[in-house]
Amino acid sequence: MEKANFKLPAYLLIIMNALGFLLLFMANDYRANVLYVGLGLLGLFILIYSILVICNMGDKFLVLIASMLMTLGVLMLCRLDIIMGARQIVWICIGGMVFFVTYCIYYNIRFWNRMWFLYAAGGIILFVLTLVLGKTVNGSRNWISFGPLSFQPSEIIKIFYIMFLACHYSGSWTKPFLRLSPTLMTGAVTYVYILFLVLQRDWGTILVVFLIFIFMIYVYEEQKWFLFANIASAAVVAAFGYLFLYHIQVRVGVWLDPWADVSNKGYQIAQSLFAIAAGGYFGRGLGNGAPDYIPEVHTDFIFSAICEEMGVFGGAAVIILFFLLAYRCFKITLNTKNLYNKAVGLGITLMFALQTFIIIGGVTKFIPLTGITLPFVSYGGTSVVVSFASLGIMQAISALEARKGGTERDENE
Amino acid sequence: MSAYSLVSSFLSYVFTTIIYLFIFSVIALIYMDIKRANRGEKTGYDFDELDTAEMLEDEPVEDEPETPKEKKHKPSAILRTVKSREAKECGMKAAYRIGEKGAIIGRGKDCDISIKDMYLSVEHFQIWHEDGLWYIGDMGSKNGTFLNEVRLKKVKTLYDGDEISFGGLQVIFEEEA
Amino acid sequence: MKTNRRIIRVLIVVSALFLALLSYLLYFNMFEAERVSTNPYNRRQWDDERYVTRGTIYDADGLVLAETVENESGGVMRKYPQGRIYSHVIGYCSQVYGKSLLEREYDSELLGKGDLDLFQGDKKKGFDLNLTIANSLQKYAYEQMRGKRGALVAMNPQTGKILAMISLPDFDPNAATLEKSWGDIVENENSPLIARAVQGLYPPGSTYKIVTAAAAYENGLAGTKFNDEGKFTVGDLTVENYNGKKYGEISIEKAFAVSSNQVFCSVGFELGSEIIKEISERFWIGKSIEFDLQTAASRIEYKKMSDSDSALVAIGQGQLLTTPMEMAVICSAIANGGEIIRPYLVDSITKNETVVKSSKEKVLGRAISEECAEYVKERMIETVNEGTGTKARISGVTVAGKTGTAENENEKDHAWFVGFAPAETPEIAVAVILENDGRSGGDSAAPIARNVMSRYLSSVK
Repeated sequence: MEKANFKLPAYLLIIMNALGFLLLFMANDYRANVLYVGLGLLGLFILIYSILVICNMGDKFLVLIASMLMTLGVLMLCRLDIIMGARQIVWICIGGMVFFVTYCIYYNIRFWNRMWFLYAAGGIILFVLTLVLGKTVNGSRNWISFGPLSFQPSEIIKIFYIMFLACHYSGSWTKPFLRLSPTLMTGAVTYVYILFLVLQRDWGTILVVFLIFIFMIYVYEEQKWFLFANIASAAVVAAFGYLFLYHIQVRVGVWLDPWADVSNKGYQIAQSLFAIAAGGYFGRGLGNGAPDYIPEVHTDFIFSAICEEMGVFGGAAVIILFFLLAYRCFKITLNTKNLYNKAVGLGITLMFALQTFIIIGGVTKFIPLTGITLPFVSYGGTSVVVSFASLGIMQAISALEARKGGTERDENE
Repeated sequence: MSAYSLVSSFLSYVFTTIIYLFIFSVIALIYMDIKRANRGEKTGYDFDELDTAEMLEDEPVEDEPETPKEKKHKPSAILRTVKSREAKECGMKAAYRIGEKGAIIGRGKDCDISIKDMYLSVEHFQIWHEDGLWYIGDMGSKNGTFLNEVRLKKVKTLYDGDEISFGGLQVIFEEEA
Repeated sequence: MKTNRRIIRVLIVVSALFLALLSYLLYFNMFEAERVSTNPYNRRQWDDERYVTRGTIYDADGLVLAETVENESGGVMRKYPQGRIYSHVIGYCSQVYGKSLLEREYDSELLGKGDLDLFQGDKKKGFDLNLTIANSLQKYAYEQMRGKRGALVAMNPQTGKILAMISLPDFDPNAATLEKSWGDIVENENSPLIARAVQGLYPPGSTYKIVTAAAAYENGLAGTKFNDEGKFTVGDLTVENYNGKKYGEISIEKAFAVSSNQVFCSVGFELGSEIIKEISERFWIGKSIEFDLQTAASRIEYKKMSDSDSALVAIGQGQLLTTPMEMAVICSAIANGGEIIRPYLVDSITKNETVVKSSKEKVLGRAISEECAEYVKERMIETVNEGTGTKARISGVTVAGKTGTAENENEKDHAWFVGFAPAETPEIAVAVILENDGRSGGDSAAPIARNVMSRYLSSVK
């Protein structure tokens, strides 16, 4: 009986997709391609969800919630540009595969907790590659291109970083390295990462990485001084950044008063606020608004576009969906007994939650704007694939706990 | 106002409704999942471990004193409470002793074992001893009594280690030698 | 488990963050969205204009006051054929600096929002506005006020129709000129963007004795005699009569006509703050007047008003501030037998000459009884016939009025005149203020009011 209830949200998801794509079909002069795109997406969701249920792969909520978020994102992207929407669906398809691959790998390999060095080094190599090969997009040098394909290494680095932190905080890595204790080593790697990110001017990722670090310390570190020392040093660094880095001054200034220089520095955020204000509670309707006035609307500012055309209620729904996703992740983390999985779970949970908060808070002028993607919703291959990979890890953690009660792996440590 | 924008504005209300229905149905499911987990059903990993852990720490198990040897000849049994949030909330003891006269378990004050849980009937079920065996019978309770996860329809014999569930609560039946 | 307990705390922090985000989004939509969306940089405001031709604004006789025309390049432009005369009535409509006054308040009507006619081709037209103002009087009043700083409001005291409304200094609302001279306009120390008639707050000076006289009548002070020594003193407050005149033994009626500060301060002091405050509220002080444009609320700013404060308020000084519109409404109340009538500017909204919505007269409340209004009217007639307001006399017409010369800190006095005519069956009520004019209201403001009233009455006949 209780299993049957899972059908309701699934049906709602299907109706949402069907209505959404019918509307887009109408908007695009009744071209059948739109319907194929919609059917493709819907098929993809059903496929992923079915595999999940049939193979009994643990938590059923994560994918369900993520699917709704992706639906909202894809509808918006298709409305902005049908080609972009179709491309996003291809990425979701790849992401779905990555999801299962990550799931299987994570599920079956048991020595994740011993490879801290690989994670740290992998991250740094990616950073160096970005600096050498990277190209600058919107003031942030955080893209690497290989022919027609380009990706954002910082997205991948976040996962490495979380797995790296987990090695230390799960207690699996205790031997000092170069006479540095793991605690100090973790701090050192974090600051090296942040330094690289400063060089790339990827402020959003800095914020995510640093906050994950702080929360991890809070949860795991027994010595409180380490937490306070880090917060204090961050405050000092932030103060210096504000005093000496023009970029940060501009961001804070624009946050305090975007109207002072609307036509120039405050342009983006002002356009975003105009869009949100235009939406009202229920939105102007898909295709009725003018979200294309916002620069970068398909990535960082997708939330503003949703607010304009689906209303503040639509925007609030996105926030609630992300909260539910984070809540489920927290739940899985809490239930996990394996210490390494718990730490990784916490990291990924925090990544989802913080990234959402930082970008939605940014585009609504709740906090200073730092560019970062909204997981599952924003356009972008790297973002979608990495979000799926993180979800795959989360899924694997939940499945491991469900099937084995985590005990087997505990004994291995 | 074109026909499209009219349809689209209308659909924006529909979309909002669908999304919120979706959210509510997911919340309802999550809520059910948590509730089930708290009741200790074996639903996999989603057991609310924290509460149990807290209970173990916070409330030292206050076992009934071991049966004195001189009373050994009289039959007696123990109902050992399975720890859960519900059990804590309605103030259940860690264990209850049942003598040869048996016991009525329910919400009512006059019951031999009175438990203040809203899911219990006034007289929920009873346990008694006859010819060397222990029996259990439901007393027409509203939410039923379960013996080893099977709902009691008629009187059944109780054996050591049997699990009795009623309302959201669980006890383990332990026969004393 | 310690870890789990801490993770739960992290969960609580994350929940708080999300809740804050949610609340902020709702807050933004409730309290800030409107202000944000009317920001002139919001291109969305002009999106509608691409599909809709903004409605035309006509005067009472069907003369075009504002219209949207296409220029050579196919773009649209808002044109104001009467130039500056209506800059503080209609306002401006600029793609760069946004919209103001009527253009702003009636934006959705001018864009034809709510017009469900789906079949009218590519470009539809918004609704038209028909004003109560006749251009001939507005233009005449404008000429009378030319070169001054201040405001003039003329209305029909029986219906509330605005007949003329001038605020000076003004500006040229035509977009091209406006955009070119915006910097000068904004930086001009005389603030030409303020619609003084409805948004300017001034001490009303002796014109407020109208209200005090009504209070005196209500409290049985009619016919009382006072000894006027030219100076009112209580505590450390001293108020002198205008030009330091002493009237000796004088009735309250005579004191009104000659505008004795000493007598009216005494009246205000004797009646006390409660009575003065209460009657002021009945005359709509403290509330903003319901109008087609945003009006500033006239107010008594004392947190706690003492009786010596009420002596000052009784002669329209102290911390009492009123808009010219408020004074016109008070004056109309005397003229129409005691009722506060809602002023209105937009007579009807039409589409292709069919009326979509038309305004109706509305009484907002009763300030005083008819007898009381009659008593004050008599005083105002005496003021014009033999008191300070003789320069407002019109031959063959009984005029009622009251002058005022409001003192200012460190600046020259404001000259006021409020009045109506014909006193028997009032058709027009006028309030005039000349900012920092320096002369008395009877000398400078009264002639302007007279000319406008006389012109209106002769045009009606």
